Amino acid sequence: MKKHTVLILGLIFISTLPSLWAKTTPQTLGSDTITFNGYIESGLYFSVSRLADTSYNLLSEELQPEGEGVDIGSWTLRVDNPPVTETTFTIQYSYAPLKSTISSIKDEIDFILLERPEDESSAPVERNNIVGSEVTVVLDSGLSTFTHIFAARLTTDGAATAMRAAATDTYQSDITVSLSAE
Amino acid sequence: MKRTLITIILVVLVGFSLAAEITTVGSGSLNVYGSVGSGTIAFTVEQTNTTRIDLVNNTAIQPTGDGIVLGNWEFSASNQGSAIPYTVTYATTPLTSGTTTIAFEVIELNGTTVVPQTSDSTAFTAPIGSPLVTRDIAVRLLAAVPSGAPAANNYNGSITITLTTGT
Repeated sequence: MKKHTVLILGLIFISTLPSLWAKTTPQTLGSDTITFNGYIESGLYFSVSRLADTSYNLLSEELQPEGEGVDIGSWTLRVDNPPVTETTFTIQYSYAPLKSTISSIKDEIDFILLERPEDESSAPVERNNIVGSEVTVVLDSGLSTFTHIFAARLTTDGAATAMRAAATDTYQSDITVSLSAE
Repeated sequence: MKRTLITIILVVLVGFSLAAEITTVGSGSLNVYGSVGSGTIAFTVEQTNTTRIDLVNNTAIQPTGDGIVLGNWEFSASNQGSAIPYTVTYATTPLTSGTTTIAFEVIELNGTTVVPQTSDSTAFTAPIGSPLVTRDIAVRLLAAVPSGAPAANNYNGSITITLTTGT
């Protein structure tokens, strides 16, 4: 009799095991996926600034062909989120010789630009309407900021013209700095 | 008048005698047995927005933004005999392009209530009867996209939403 009782109790215990298992084990009832798609555009910031509101003496030593020139402006290119493919940016200068704003004065004083990195990491190089500057950005560049200073210096012809040009403080040239990409 | 009264008395007496003849000789009852089985449970996930999102300039997707709704999930059941707790789990894979990954969080919108899913799961108890529980699912970046992250139009991430029961 006792043996039967134990057997019945055992069977009852075994039969309740699955329900105990179901209550304690999380069961997945459904699952599905939503996709999230995004994009990042390359961020370009380009600025040109004038360094000083100064009218220079065109006969001064520093402006002569053998001089160091005078710093007149700078440009900054910042590339956020660099493009996946290597990209070269071109900085082009466009300007005309110095001319007087007085129309009766016909003298044209030619000059060149001398461009150098702001951190002086390399020597100044000549720039003009034909030869610009190139900056290459690659994928692993991270945040890229390039700042260059450009100075002006008279060419040999420009210095010669300046020697005989009319005396006036109205000589002027506008320099346009433009950015383009491949 | 006297005749009428006698007639009425006779009729009443006959009625009582007839009633006295209906007697209960036995009685029994039958039971009606029925059952309602536990009804079905349905859990669906729907994507409602497949637009590729500008991760830098879109203000809603930024960490301080409201998020952008991408889809929803719906739980429905019928003939539930008891209140049952459920858990919905969100498993995300970050936005990835090449070797660059950008983390985001899931935002659960219960009507107008915003519940950032920092714990990656949410629990609810389905009441007795035929409960219906729905949530809109939005996403938001955990941090602004760093300037060094490459520009690309193939940042893809995902949210796998799973319903489980049990403890």
